[in-house]
Amino acid sequence: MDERSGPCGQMQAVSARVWPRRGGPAGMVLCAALIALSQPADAQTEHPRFAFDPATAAMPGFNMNGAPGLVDMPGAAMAPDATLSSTVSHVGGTTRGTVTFQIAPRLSGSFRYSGLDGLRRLGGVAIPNHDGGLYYDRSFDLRFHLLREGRYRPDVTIGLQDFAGTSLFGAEYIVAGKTVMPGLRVTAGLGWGRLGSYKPLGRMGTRPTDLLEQGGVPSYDRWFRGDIAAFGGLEWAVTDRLTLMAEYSSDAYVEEVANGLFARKSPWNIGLDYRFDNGTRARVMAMHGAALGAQLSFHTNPRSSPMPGGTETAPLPVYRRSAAERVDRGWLADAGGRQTIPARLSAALEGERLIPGGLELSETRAVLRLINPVYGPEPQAIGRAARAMSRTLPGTVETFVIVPVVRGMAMSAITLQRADLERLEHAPARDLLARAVIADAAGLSPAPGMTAEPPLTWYLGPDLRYSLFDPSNPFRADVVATARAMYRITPRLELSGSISTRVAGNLDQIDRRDPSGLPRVRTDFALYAREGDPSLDHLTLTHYLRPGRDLYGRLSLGYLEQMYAGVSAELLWKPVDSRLALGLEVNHVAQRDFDQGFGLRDYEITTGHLSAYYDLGRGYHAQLDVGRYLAGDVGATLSLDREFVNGWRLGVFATLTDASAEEFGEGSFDKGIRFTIPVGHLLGQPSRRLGKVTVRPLTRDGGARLDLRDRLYEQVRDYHRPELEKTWGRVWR
Amino acid sequence: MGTGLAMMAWRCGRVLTGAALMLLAACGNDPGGLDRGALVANVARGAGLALPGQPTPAAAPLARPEQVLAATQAPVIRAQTAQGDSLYLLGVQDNGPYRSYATATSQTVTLRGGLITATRGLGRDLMRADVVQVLDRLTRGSPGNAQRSMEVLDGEDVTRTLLFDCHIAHGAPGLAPRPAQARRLMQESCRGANDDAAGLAFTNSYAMGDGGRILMSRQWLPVSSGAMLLEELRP
Repeated sequence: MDERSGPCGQMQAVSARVWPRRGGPAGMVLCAALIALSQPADAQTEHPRFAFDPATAAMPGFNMNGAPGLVDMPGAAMAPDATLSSTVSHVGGTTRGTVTFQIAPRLSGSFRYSGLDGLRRLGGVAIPNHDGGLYYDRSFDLRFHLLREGRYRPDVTIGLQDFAGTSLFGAEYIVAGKTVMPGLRVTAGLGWGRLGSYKPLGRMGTRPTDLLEQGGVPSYDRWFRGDIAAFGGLEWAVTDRLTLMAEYSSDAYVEEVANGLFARKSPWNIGLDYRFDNGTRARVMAMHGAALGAQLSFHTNPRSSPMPGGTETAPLPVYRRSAAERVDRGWLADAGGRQTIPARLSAALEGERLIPGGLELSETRAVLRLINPVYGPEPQAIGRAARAMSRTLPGTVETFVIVPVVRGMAMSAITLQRADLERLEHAPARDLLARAVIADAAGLSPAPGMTAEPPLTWYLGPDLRYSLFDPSNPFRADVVATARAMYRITPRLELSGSISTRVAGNLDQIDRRDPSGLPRVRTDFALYAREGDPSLDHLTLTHYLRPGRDLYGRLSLGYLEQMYAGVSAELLWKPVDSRLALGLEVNHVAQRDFDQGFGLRDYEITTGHLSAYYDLGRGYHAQLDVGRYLAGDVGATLSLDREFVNGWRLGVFATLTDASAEEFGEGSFDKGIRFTIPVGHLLGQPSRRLGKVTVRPLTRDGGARLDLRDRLYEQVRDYHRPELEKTWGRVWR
Repeated sequence: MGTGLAMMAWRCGRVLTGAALMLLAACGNDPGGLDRGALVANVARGAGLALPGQPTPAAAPLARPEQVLAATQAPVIRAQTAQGDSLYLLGVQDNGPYRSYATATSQTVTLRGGLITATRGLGRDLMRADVVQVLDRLTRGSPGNAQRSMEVLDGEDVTRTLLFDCHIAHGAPGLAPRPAQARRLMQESCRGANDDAAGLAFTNSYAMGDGGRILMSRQWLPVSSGAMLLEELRP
């Protein structure tokens, strides 16, 4: 995945996967801001605009916590499905940065990183290992829309705020909201926890204060327990752009007041919200009669694009043969002319930035191996190749078989009748899909010498490694100079290596070293960062194979990743029409020296997983991996992703193993969120590069897997029917 | 904390700037590489910055129609966008009733009997249109109602069909100067007829010649540049 990664679309060469396998929201906030900026306020309103467009959709106001709401209090409205929002607010010594995603029409989730300046004591107890400077806190929220607003019925939403971990912001609420007349919205709710701390009306049991296990698990024992208080307020849209808010807050700001961050004089907050053309909102607010605050919210949506359909130039028109050309067999006898056919097709394909992987031609049938280095939507590559074939192949060739090849493996065989191409060039794309045959391509992988892929590809330039929101610093990064090269010994045998040296940065300044009850398989990342300059990032020999129908294989040997070297073998079963895939991966690895040279440490382990991948439909995807992890712990990882047709993916994962919470340490078990950002979609230029970001609250040793660059599933599924169908609208683009 | 945040933003900005500068110096031979110049320009434009040395769109004077017609035997149309950009397109391929015209910079417009049915490379392209009913009324010079549809890709790459209810009438507002051979002027007023086309409305104008051929037209498009004025220079 090396060549396809980057933390944000704006930095193509930059690889996010390198180091401590965390990092992200700051990147996400930045990316969201850049995306928001790159979506110009459209002067021409005559474009079709769709409901998810952040600049036109009915977007509720977002509160200080980065959730739909009033000033500080939550509201009952939901953002349009799939909205990705980033909010930064600052008031009274507290800065909160929140990324919120509308996971489904009724469900939204948030990740928040907060800095409290001068917080020394929590619950009256001095915070351990904290010098009284900025105290950083990470929290997660979930909100569920119980009732949708109707003519008389209000919106009703139930929410869990900071539902796992230290619960500094921990609260639960049920809130109702109703637009009572155009521009005027009333909100009222009941809160527990923080939101039940000012003038409680009553109580439901007692709210525990002890952490469950080692923290990081849902604090279900606290939910909807303890004091209950009421909150509410009004939002008045003065104009299309300007909204005034006033609220009665049920948050007593107990910890902030006790630490002297804030003097809470009144329960009333007021705010003023201004919306810019691109949907960005700026706010100022007066809080509790004691402080002024400010806030910015950026909204985007993976479904929106600065340039829908892309900006690349037109494809070649389909050539429609005459009746005489269809039966003209003259070319079969003309040996000289025949020899020029592959070259003419290659030239046409190269004009489309496609790479021919070999052509087999008979009187009525052509089989083309095709390498697509550029187009994110795979049907676009297939359509452009078919157009080129229609213009260069002799008239008697009635059947085109296009075999997409990835790393020497034939991924599928897409058969198109030439007459269908001629007839359906100007018909809806689905008509061609109905006539296309998509079949398994075992046995069709190109032989050595067939492909025009350059044997050596290389890159010299910058790379970025970063760590975001670690417990003592929100942002660390190194800019490194990287040299990468990949040599194809045969189409399916690759020798690949990468070395880097630090140019600037502060990753080497991490002084955190967590205790661990497990072998230190990941928690020595600070040592790797400090000592690995220069570093051998990877040096591998990889062989890909198609052992049979529906089967794909990979064998890797060498310095596989930053921290491990050894051998890795993978077998994937994935029928071409199937939404289900099964995989088996077995690795035997040794831990590498901290200096990331050729040396090894004395920790060796055999690790491996059985994996099931399933496309749930409607844009959801699930993955289950069961096996043995790097520290020798045995368990399973469940990942759930929301996948968009254009390549955006947002997901969550969690791993439970037989390592106890005590052995695991802070956080209790491994979990996190992950993003995939299609660079081409962001930039409006064709690209298969993907920016991948994984955010873990903490990097620990339990539930850790190898960080392999070239697992099979993501490479294989692209050219199979379920994925091709999703993006088929691009076939004539 | 305000300073902490500022520090964070500053550091972040410094690293990103460093990476962006080094990107320009990066090199390699990856066939899937991005167009770095376009990338940097795109980011700069998004941030509202003007980069030094950016080529401004050349205001090269357009060749005269006679020169273009003398240089090629192909069919020629002249197109003018709502922004006033003017260019020639040459007919490069016929497929049944459809003819595709291309610019010198590999953008295409496909016409069916003079009505635009597809564009490629214009940004927010029209992927396909069904104009059969409209074309029938125009060529017969017969006022009345007709439906048309346009397919576009949305930001997720999903095909959306915009449906329009249209009314064909005589007269062609705003179409000037009209070609001397024009025998009949027609207009087509359309209004969005499904959710995806809600709120969209446009009026197209046509100057028709002998045999109901469209000589000149102004046609609305869902593309970035908006409506397009088309003039047939050689059929």
